[in-house]
Amino acid sequence: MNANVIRFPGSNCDEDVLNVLKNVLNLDAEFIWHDETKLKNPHLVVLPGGFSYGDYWRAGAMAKISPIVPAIKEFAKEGGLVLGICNGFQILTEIGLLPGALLKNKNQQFICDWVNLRVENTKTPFTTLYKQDSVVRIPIAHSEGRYYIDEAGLETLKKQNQIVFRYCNPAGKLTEESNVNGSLDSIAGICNPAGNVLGLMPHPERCSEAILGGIDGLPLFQSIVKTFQPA
Amino acid sequence: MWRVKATVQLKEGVLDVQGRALEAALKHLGYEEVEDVKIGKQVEFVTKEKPPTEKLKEMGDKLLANPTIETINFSVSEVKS
Repeated sequence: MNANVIRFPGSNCDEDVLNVLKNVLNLDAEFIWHDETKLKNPHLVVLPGGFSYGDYWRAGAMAKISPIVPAIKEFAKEGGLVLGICNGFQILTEIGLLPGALLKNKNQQFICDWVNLRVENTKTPFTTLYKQDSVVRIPIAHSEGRYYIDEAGLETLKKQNQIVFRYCNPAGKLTEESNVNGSLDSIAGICNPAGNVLGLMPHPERCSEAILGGIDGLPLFQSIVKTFQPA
Repeated sequence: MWRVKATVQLKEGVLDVQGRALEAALKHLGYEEVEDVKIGKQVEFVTKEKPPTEKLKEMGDKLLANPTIETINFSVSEVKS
């Protein structure tokens, strides 16, 4: 299995993602600079976190016109797996691979903390190794993570089972307190209707090794690997 | 020469947390009459020829605004040399 990790000017979680793919999961993985126009035959494309283009004007707004984007869109259209983490999620909404938008956190602060997420959909290639409705502990670090979509859009997400992770308390309940950034319906991560594109604000690559304080992010990457293993 | 000024704001129905904070601050200063504070951002640029409305709308849709959450308004004026 081969993965491409896209680097935009200002991406800063690229090394962490590559570390999980190469050193923890022993996959072939390489960086693709945003200026390239072709991917390198990946099974998985990851848009990592960070501050692409400094979040200038609007987070993810300028990354969407990077030369590599048409190749990513084509790859997703053909069913390739695309994972957007944090700024990567923001970029996926900006380039139209995922619906909705990410706004400034409700408390207007940059929040860097562990959060609890409830796994809502274990049918995607990214979540098959999680238990339905299980609570996982994954860190967030963002200032613009408040998910928003209009009413009709939310109904569609629910109908098509596109909500993959929600912020919750340790007991798995959705509360105002556990929804730290004020996201609509406590949404932390969503997928496209086909399930091959996932975007989430929390950082699974920061908790895929025990030494970092938790490994609840690892099943996400392991699920992807499992997708490509012969049955 | 023409100067274009574009103002981008959050749409109605989208919570403007910074606007709310500024409103609270203004009220705290005694300006109780202030309501519905919106914080937007502005960008301006010049063009040689008068830019057609459709082109400005295109710029808005493609980059300057996120239509999911933002509105954009343009004002165009001639720069007299």
